[in-house]
Amino acid sequence: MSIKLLKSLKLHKDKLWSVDCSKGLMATASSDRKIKLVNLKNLDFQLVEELDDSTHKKSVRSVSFRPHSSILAAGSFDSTISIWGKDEEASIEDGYQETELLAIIEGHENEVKGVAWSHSGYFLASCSRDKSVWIWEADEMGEEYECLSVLQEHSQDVKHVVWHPAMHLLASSSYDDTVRLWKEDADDWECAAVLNGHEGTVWCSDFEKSESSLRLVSCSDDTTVRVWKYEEEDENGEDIWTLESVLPSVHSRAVYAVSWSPDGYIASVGSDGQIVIYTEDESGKWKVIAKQHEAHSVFEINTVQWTRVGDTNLLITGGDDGCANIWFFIP
Amino acid sequence: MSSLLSEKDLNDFISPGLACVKPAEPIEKGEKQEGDLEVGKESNDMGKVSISLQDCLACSGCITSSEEILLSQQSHTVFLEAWKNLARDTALVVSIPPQCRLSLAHYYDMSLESFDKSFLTLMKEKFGARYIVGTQIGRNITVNQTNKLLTERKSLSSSKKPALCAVCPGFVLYAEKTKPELVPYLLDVKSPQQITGALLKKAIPNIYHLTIMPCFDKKLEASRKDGEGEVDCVITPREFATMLQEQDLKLTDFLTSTDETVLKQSCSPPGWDISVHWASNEGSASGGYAYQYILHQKSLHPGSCISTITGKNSDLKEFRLMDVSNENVIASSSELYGFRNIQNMVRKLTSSGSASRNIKVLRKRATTSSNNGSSFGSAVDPSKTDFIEVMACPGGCINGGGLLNGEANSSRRRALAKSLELEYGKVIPKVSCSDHPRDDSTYKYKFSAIEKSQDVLTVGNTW
Repeated sequence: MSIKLLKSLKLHKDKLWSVDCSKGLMATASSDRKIKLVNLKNLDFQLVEELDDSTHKKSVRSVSFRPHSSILAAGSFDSTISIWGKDEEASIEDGYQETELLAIIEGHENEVKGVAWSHSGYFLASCSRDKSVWIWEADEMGEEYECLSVLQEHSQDVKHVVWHPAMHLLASSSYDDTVRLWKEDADDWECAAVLNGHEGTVWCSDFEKSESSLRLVSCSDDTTVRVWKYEEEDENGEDIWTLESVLPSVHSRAVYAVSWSPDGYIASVGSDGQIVIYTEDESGKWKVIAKQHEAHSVFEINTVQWTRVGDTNLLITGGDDGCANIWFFIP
Repeated sequence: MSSLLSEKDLNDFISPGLACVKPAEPIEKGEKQEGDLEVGKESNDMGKVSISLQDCLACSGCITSSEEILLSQQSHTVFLEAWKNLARDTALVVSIPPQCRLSLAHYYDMSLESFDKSFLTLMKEKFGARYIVGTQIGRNITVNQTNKLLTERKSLSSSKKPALCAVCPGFVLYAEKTKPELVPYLLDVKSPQQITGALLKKAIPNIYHLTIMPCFDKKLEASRKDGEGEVDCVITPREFATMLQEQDLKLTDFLTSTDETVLKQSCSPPGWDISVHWASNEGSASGGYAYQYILHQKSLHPGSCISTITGKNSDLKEFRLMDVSNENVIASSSELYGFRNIQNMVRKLTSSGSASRNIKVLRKRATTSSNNGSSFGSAVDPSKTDFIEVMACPGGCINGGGLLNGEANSSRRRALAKSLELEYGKVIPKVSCSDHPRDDSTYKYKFSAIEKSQDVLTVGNTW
């Protein structure tokens, strides 16, 4: 089992914060205020577009593609969210069609740290240093947004939001050391569970891509990566989640991002510059199956995402060196 | 601090800012002699910064203010201290609105009548209150003046529409501090809390006015410069319950067999009709301002009927006064509660950001939006109504952050608010606001948008 670097793309002049991949296209967000789009379908991984960098006045911290569409949401430290897309009905006469700014969403008091589209594409979630998580409803065109809920239970900066791959269940990670899970109630969205246990900022989480079990992996400043499992709903209608396992300790410093692949691998990256890949054996025990030191030379790694292009599983990482590294993982 | 009061209860609206921007100032040394220059003796002693609620009101650093400051200047301990030191010729007067009575009655597991009797007896016997009043006389004035102004505004095309109700201090503060574009929309009629205070102070010399209010932002409202002196102290039902606990007082011990009417009469200032000031009016449990405006318009337009449309969530409702003959909309108003709905309203009223940025309007949008061309579709759109009753708390004032609704989770809390709202409609007698003589004085706020301080120093981690 090994990880092989296919290509390192120097895309940004400053920190690369976030990547998201959809339909063979990768979007990247950076402190240089740029958003770039890269074609993953060919091995030369060509840069296809650079979005208008006058849109955001500060770092772009997070990007997320809306499923089943070409729409991209980007959250920025300038407290706004930009929405980008293409007129899909327009005829493409002169080759590549440009991605245009469709909307700017304002509402957060300060830095937006994360944005994420639900699997259905109905909802956009955003989170911010203002300690809140917002849920927006979008129209089909991605041009009109209505705020459905402002969730203010986190006591600190909210770092990251992620939706379940098949349900309207949202997880948010915070500087208050917790992960909160949110679901839709009769009239509003509510906190369904609080995951307590990390002893430092929780930077990121990701759901298991499985129909039979409901689990979440989280990573933290405390250097650990933890897997949580949904047990049942208690008599107050709150979901009970328990800590199922703490993954083998490899990282020596803060773990900034985790990604759970459709075939069950977990990848984690962080401040120590390592990529670590874990797998679960039949008894439910997690073990490390691959490690990569200095994956972005001496730089910290901020983000990781599994993606499938054709029948190839790729792992994408992004770091403070402004590079997106594309890795091939052979199980 | 008591277990009844904790930081999370102060979630009236939005949490305080991360950094208070009030600067610390070096202490002036009085003994410094003119002309003497001492090298290196520039005073480095920073005075302990004391922040008053008025400082908070004048600063855009936080949206409301920190718990510590709120409670250091407006709390039951402040009240007890002031009460102990009341001058001999100063009388204690207490006011309480219906939402707080219902919440406390529920908390003490009493009927509203038993609660009222116990409360009056306790305040009278234990605290020596001279008068104890409900807030409906004040509310009648708020409603009547609101209706008058709205009717005037309706005839002027120049006024900003919709007018926004300014009874909720949480929303007013939010507008003043973070959304200056909204300030011109605010209707400047004062809230029942302030008008009740002004009436009491006008009628009776030398009083200390304590009021019990459903949310913490009411403390800030009482500290506004444009309402100075009208209310001396605001405490919430939570604090009231804490105070009794700390004083070892049991409310049930004060339940007397005295007739409720006799008791209320004995606690009313001269000329205050108990069937009015202890009552309420038709409309929402947040004061019913939106509905009262429509009722007023109906009285001006014979042959009209009211239609009520419920919105996307339970915190959105619209009232339309329709001309029966041609189904035209004569007047409209709406109830809009909670931060999420406020956000959507803000986004509709202010064309935020989009103008300055290069947003492409795709061809499709132009065609789809022309389909719902008429300004009054069937869907609720508060931004198109004449008047919006805006309340910061989801559920409105019956779910205020200072009420005793510490339920385990938000759905239970909502259920409690719903049941209190039903009670509000059932057990509190209703009066018609317009039946009661109008007060000729005007009670107005002076709103001003607060200039944003330069990007506040970011504290701690910014990743």
